[in-house]
Amino acid sequence: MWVEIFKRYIALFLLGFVIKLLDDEVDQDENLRKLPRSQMLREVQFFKLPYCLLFLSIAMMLDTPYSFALFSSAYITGMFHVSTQRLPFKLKSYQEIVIVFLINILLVPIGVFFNCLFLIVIIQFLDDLMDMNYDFTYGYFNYANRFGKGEVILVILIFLVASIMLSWVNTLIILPTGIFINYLYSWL
Amino acid sequence: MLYGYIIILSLLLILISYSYGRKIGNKEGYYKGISEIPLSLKLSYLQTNECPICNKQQQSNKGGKG
Repeated sequence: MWVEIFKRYIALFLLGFVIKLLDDEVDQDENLRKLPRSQMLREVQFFKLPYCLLFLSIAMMLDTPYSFALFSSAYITGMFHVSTQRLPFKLKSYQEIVIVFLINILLVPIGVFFNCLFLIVIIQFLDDLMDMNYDFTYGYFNYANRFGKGEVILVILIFLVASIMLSWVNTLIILPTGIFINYLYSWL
Repeated sequence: MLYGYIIILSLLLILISYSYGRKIGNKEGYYKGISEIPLSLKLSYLQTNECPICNKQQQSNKGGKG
C-alpha cells in the first residue's frame, strides 16, 4: 500500500510537470508572458518534447490507470471551452473529447476516470480563481470571469464531495500535489 | 455515502438557484442603470454647472432666481 502511494506521488509529480509544459505550449503565449527567470526552465523550454515524453512514459510505468486518466482528463478540460474549433486532425474538439472519453471508459476503471476528471476540474477552477485579475487584464479565457466567482466555488465544492465519495485516499494524494505543482511552477 | 449524495444534491440546488438569480439580477440591474443614467447626469450638471460629458463650464448663476 505504501509503495503504491509512493509510486503514485512520483508519477503525479512527473505528470504535473508534463501537463504544465503542455499547457504553455498550447496557449502559445510565450511572447506575451515573460521568459521564466531560472536558467534551468529556460533551457527546458527548448527541449520540451523529449523531456515530456520521457516523463510521461516513466509516469505511465509507475502508475498506469491514474496517469492515463489524469492526462486524458487534463486534455479534455484543456479544450472544453473551445468545443467547436477545428483541430489538426479535421475533427471538432467536442468530437475529440467524446473519443477520449470513450477510450477512457473502455480502458480505465470508471471510478478512477471520474475521480481524476473531477480532481483535474477542481484544480483548473482553483487556478482560474487565483488568476482572475491577470486573465481579465490580458484577455485569456477564465471560467471565473465567464461564469462568475460564486458558481465556480459551488462547482468546486460539488466535485470535491463527489471525488471524496469515489476515493478519499486518492483525493488526499492528488489534490495537494496538483496545487503544489501549480505553486512550484509559478514560483520557479 | 448517503450523506455525500445529500450534500451534492443540496449544493446542486444552491448552484442552480444562485446562477438563475444572478442572471435575473444582471438583467434588472442593466435596466435600472439605463433609467438611472440620465437623472444622474442631469443632477451632476445642476450641482457643478459643468457638462458631465464634455466638461464644458457654463456660466454660474450668481444670486439670481432659478
